[in-house]
Amino acid sequence: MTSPSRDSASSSADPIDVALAQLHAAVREQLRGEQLTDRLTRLANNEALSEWLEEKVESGEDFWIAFVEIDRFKSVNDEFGYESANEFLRRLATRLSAASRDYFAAGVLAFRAHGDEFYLAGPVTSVSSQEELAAKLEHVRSDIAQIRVAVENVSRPLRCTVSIGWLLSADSRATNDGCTQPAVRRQLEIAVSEAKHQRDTVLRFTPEMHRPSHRDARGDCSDCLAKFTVMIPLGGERSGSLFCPNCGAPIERPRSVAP
Amino acid sequence: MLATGVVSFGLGMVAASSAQAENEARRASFRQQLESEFESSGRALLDLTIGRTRANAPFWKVTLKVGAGQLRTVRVELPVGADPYGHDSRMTLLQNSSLAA
Repeated sequence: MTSPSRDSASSSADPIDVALAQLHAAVREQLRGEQLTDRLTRLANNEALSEWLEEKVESGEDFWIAFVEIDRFKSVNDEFGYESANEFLRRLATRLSAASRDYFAAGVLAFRAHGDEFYLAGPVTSVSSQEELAAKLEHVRSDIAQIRVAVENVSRPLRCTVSIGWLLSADSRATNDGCTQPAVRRQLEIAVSEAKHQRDTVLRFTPEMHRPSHRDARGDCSDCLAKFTVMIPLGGERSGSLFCPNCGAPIERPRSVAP
Repeated sequence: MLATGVVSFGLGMVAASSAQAENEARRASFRQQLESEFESSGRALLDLTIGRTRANAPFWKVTLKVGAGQLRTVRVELPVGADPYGHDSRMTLLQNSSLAA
């Protein structure tokens, strides 16, 4: 019996090489999965959220996203201790995960980005209407308000409410900043901070709530006489940070920049 | 489950497929090409953010360092339906961020 020559082995894939390649790929994916997972709750983490948003913006697919933030979580931590607070976070994660499966069509994900900041997000096809989405997020808020964590040596259980700010990608696109990953996060911050005024509330972001971070400015350079338009951070014209994009000369007089 | 390219997150599921790796590679390659092209004209690419306009057209928001401590941010809009990572988009981006608008 003769063993196959090296030439004949290289002409067709070696089963051992194939198996090793598959194993490497599996390990890589497992590691990548861990990188995208929050250790406390096992939900997808902030990096996974960034990845999800980036893909949605790249593809132009319509989506919705809700930012779920616990009301007065710091005082809960102070009063009940971090172990009980962590248990609350785990239960909240379980509720959000259940909601992503039970209340919506396929494609909805739950994330824990930081501390007490959670997100639910999905394609617009996961709900039949904006009204239905708002109603479902009300259910989520109400579900979370039902969570009770018994705490040793404390007479009453730990419970929390959440404020939820949400948006549709179409509304994000309708703002001056457009729909970018940082803009979506800022817009959700605006909505949730409005919701937090009342606490235990669900609030939708609308373009009217938008606070632009930049604005277009036109100017004439006194050095090279170029006419230009640049995006400047709001307040940037007062800080002396404007420069001619053609020759780099500083634009010293704010009046040379008009909206 | 790994064979299907999906990694379980216990409570949630996130796609961690080869398609995702391809996306990351495509982004990195696009950025690298731009970086070297800007660098050859004496500018440094500091930030590159993709976005969508009201009409759902893609745009790039580019922040460049154009001189000593001088930053410039421009928004370059692409046609509706354009591939933001395509050759035409890169050319449009380079041209528009070179112009004084």
